[in-house]
Amino acid sequence: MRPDSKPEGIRQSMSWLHTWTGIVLGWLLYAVFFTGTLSYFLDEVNLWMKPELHASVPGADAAQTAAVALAGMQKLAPNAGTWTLELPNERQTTVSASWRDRNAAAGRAGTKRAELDAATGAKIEARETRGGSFLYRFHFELHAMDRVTGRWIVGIATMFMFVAIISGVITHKKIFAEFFTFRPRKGQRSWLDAHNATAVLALPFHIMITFSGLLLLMGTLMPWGAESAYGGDRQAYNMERRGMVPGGQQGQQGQQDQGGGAGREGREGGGREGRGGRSRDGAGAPPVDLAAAIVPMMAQARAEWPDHAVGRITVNRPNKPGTTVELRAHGSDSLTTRGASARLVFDAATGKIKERPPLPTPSAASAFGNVFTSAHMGRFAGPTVRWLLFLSGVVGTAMVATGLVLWVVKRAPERRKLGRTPFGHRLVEVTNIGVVTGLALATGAYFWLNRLLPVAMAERAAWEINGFFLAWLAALVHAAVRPPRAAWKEQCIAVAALFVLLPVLNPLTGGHGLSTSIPLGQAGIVGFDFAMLAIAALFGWIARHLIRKDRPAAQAAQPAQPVLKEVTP
Amino acid sequence: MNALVVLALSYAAMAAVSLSMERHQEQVYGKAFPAMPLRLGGWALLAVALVPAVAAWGTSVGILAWLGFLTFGALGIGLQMTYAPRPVRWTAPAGALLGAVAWLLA
Repeated sequence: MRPDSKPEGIRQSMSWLHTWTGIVLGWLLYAVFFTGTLSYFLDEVNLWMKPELHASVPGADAAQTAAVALAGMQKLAPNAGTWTLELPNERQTTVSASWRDRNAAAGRAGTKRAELDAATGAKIEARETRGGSFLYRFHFELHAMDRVTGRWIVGIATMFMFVAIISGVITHKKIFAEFFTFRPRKGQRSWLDAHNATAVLALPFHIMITFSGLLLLMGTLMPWGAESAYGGDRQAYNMERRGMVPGGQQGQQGQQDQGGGAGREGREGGGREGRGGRSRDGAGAPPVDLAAAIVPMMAQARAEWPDHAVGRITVNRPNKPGTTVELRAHGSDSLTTRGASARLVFDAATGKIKERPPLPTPSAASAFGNVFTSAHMGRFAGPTVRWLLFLSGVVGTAMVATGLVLWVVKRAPERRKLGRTPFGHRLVEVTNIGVVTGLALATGAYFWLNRLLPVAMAERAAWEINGFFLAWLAALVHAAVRPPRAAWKEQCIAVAALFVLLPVLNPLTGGHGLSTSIPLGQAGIVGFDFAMLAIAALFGWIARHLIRKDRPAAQAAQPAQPVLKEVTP
Repeated sequence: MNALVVLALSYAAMAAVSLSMERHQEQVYGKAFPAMPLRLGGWALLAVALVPAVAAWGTSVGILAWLGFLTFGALGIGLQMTYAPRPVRWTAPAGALLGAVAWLLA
């Protein structure tokens, strides 16, 4: 690669590889990291974007909540074949109900959903929105294109990310010696330090997240092995991989939707509850009053799992003879089982425990894969681990962003020598701004539109998403027409303003503001508002930094940094 | 509580590891000195911090949480070495002590 055709060492060749794979796919990876990091708070984003659900405040007694919810289901869907209820937890305020009518179509289409008020069991009508699911889906399959195509693009970027990590470690062998070193106000040196620090400090996270990202997309990127071994029957392959017996009802129901709330909108593997329970209709004992029967069952579950609350209640054959009630623990203790949690199956008529389905014991290979993919998605994670993953994601996003900026900073001397800015350099510079701050701007706009678009508007959810892309486009155009420093500064200010006002907008547009959500202990709503303030603070801090450096006094104090002044934020 | 233990121990351990490097010794003490015991002690303390993590979250989640806390312990030391290196002389032992006390109380 050297123009003078001298032989080059492995470090130089890796440097070239690192620079170019980094810049070519860096923008996409930034978007993947940014939206993926937000997706650690998927449930919280979904909750915030449906302010109608904020009014639901569960009581302290989970058994009472369960009884009220079952009474609500009795009114809502007395003839369903199966009811599934996700009980409220620290991330959701309502009872999420889903059910399947007896003659419903197979799969997702036949599943109906509703959110129930945890105190009354009444159905809550929430506004139409894709919520955090849009950001989550965008993170691995992009938007407005075929799902497989999107996954291919993200998958290829992920492979390059893996290459960039490995080549980065080889290129910058000094990074381990300079583990704790950051040299501020030194132009290119500082950007390199920041890029190295964010890369090395969170290296275990980066390797885990990239490798597991590839594992998660494995089925899309390399389907041929499974295709040929199972004769094209993907479902049979998936079932065997997850340790299930084809056709086995109990096993399938237990394992298809792992993790808290996997059956909800926008997640994979959702909506497959309850294929069982269609047979054996007929005569027998009178229907059980489930609202009364659930209270002692909840007490038994509590005795069985002192460390775990009940997360999900599944009722098979409600209002028919042979009703069974399955309780599933909220959360689990190991990643090797992909977050599978303990279950108890009760005979509704007698209230006795009928079955204690064992936890699946995965093979070594799938246990290994499960650990990585579970860690990637973090569905199992309690608040501490979730925040750790989120902050690691922020560090990863910063790593990509500093790398992108570094590309431009590094070429500043070349620009000055030429006396003009080559088109390619300008293109990278504009795109950097449009992506790094532009995506944050678009996300802020998405949250604002969620509250400002009329609730009754046609195609409402689609217009929230259109607004996201229009705001992103506007940020790109703005970056192209303004000088780079001004563009960075103005966009940072805009992002900080959009995000800092979200906790104000929230109570004004029907949600529970901090003064309500904190006393009620609604951790999910509180967490979202604080996360928005944190993002506002971050961008506000960068903006303040840029404004200070623009002041003449500051420039006079630091005359030795023309490089920094010209092209860097 | 366990989060505090693991974070405080990681921070103290990372301080020891950093102070085994010449550059940071000069920042903090103004002179370099041989520091193999500090280095080994730092690595040992990192390993020790894994124990409360696994106790709190189980093996697989515990290792993940431990790695996360190591990252932020190191980030804290990195920022401190940049902007306020000298106080690490007492903040690092304080971190170790805080971790130990919190562990005993947990």
